[in-house]
Amino acid sequence: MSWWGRYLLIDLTERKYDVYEVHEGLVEKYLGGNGLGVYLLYKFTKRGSDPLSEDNPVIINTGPANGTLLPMASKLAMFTKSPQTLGFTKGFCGGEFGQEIKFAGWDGIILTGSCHDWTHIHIENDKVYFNKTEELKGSYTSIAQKKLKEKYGEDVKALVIGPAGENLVKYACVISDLRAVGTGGIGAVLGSKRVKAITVRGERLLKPRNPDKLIDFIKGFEEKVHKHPGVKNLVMFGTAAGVMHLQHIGALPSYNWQRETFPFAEKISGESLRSKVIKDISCFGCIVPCGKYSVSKDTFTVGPEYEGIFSMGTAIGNWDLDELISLDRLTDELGLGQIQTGGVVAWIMECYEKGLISRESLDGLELNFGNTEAVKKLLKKIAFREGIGNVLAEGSQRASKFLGIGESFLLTVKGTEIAGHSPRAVKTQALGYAVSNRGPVHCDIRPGMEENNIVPLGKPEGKGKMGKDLAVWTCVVNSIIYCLSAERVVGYVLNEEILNMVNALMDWEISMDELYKIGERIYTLERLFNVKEGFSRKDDTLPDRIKKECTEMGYRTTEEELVSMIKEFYNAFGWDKEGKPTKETLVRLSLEEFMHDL
Amino acid sequence: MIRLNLDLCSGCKRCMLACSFYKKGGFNPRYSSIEIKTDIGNKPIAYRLGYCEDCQELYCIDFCLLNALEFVS
Repeated sequence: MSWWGRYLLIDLTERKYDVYEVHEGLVEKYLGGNGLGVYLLYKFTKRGSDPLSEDNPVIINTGPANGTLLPMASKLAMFTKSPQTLGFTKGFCGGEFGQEIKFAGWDGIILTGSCHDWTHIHIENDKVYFNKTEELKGSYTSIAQKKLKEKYGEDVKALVIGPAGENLVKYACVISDLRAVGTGGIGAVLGSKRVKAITVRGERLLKPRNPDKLIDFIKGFEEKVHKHPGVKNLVMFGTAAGVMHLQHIGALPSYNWQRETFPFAEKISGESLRSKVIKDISCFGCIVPCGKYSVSKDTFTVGPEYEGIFSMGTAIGNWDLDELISLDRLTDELGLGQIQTGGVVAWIMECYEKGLISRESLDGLELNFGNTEAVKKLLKKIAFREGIGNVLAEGSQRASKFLGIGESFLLTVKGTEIAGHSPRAVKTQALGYAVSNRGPVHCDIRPGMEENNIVPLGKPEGKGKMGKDLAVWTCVVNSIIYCLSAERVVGYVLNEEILNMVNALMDWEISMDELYKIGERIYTLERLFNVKEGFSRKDDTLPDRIKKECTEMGYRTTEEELVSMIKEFYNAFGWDKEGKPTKETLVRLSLEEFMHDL
Repeated sequence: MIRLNLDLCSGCKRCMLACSFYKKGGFNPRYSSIEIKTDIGNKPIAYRLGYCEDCQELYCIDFCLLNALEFVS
């Protein structure tokens, strides 16, 4: 384990900083990344606080794998109270920022308070500088990073928000390099703190606790990764590899989920994207170059990933690859969370095509499905909160209420637009979208086992209990912090591979039962955060369209199926029928210190 | 000498991590004798060698599973 035992605690209001020590006992309970992230967020958040106020902290976290030679482990984690769900949220991205925090001698950063002026925070090992930065305000994310590197050196790593974050768009993301922490509107929270950018330079040597044990594990493991057949597909097509498979099984959502096949899927598949790829690139220290450096007529991007192809492609009826690459780049430049943005645009397009809103009300934009020129204009309006963009910046659920239209075809859970994996065909995904503590993402309860027919597709039986195993897996993997795309190598549920990895990184000898319990503890503490904020069973639901309208293949997830899976899931976790962890569960998971919040 | 094939290099900087770990006792690419430079997006654009001509272990090559580095005598 490469562990400093100290976090950088920054008070933005007072422009002060200090060391916040995290003792070994907490690491044993929460591992790092996801686990320590939710613990610290819990500790620093006041019940009922406004997510866009100085009371809401932001935790930037690393895990024990960051900065080491372990492949597929170059991730950064962020935690805060979401302005979109008003509950717990977390987000992850690749790149080099997480490693650089480690090299600077920190395990993570805790941001509290709010700056009075637009600020760039520069961390140079132990020192923190607060720089006023009016000149970066309004800049695109790549421009901001370029300017910062010109000023502070090519070797600094940056984390920035775009205009969307500055203007408090509820689903604004955070960008590092060309990677995005997309979930939950964390960019808006940074915007509310007037933090435009954070840069870090670290010059310490990171030393594993047991170097021989770690290198032994890495040497054996990297060979397995390198030769794994599933990895070959990932290297060739990136996460876009799944497009045609999902099309064939009838789980490729399109036109605001009116369909789950896309007539032009082949035009924007991973195979077609290959013609635009000029380089396969890796995250830091990774031997799997799954990043697709793609060029269009006028720009370039890394990706688009599968979710980009869904949100800027199938969901909005776009099958032009050049336009897809341009929109992928534009959302990142503006700092818009891509999945939610695609959901909002697809929803307003359906409203327009059904005649529920006039062209005049859309500032003259002809928002038919597939009109990418209009979409580009709309994205800028959203990011800068101009005209109709100001309404849509609140997300589709709030926009629907404000405009009084389109409620029956909202695709939201906990106020957030759902990701691009089918909750009608894939029952574990239906459960995942409904119960996920951070809203309807595909990264808490993963759809892979069902999509790849390792377990039966479209059958709800037993999926509640399985959902727990999948949630525990992601909590452990996100605490290491390890890449979720590695599931094809290390399995979809906890197994010896992950256990050996944890023991090698931490120099532990814990058992599978103990590791499983760490995952249960993390997911349950996330749940408790939401319980404290007033969430209950009623918030764990699915959009009407998913429950009532069948796909071309005849899939839907009925209310009865969902209720049955949720009941099984709650029981497996030891939560009551309201989705609240019981006292016995908190004792079993050594979470007694949070008992008073029940 | 060590030669880099930019077509095979994915910009992961694993060679730099291996070098700093074995030669300096810890991970940090700043302490590596070999340096891969990348542009925004992590695309490798250049590399340089430092004072590593006398290194016999070649950990940088050992840990590059993409075979982008080779030793040329």
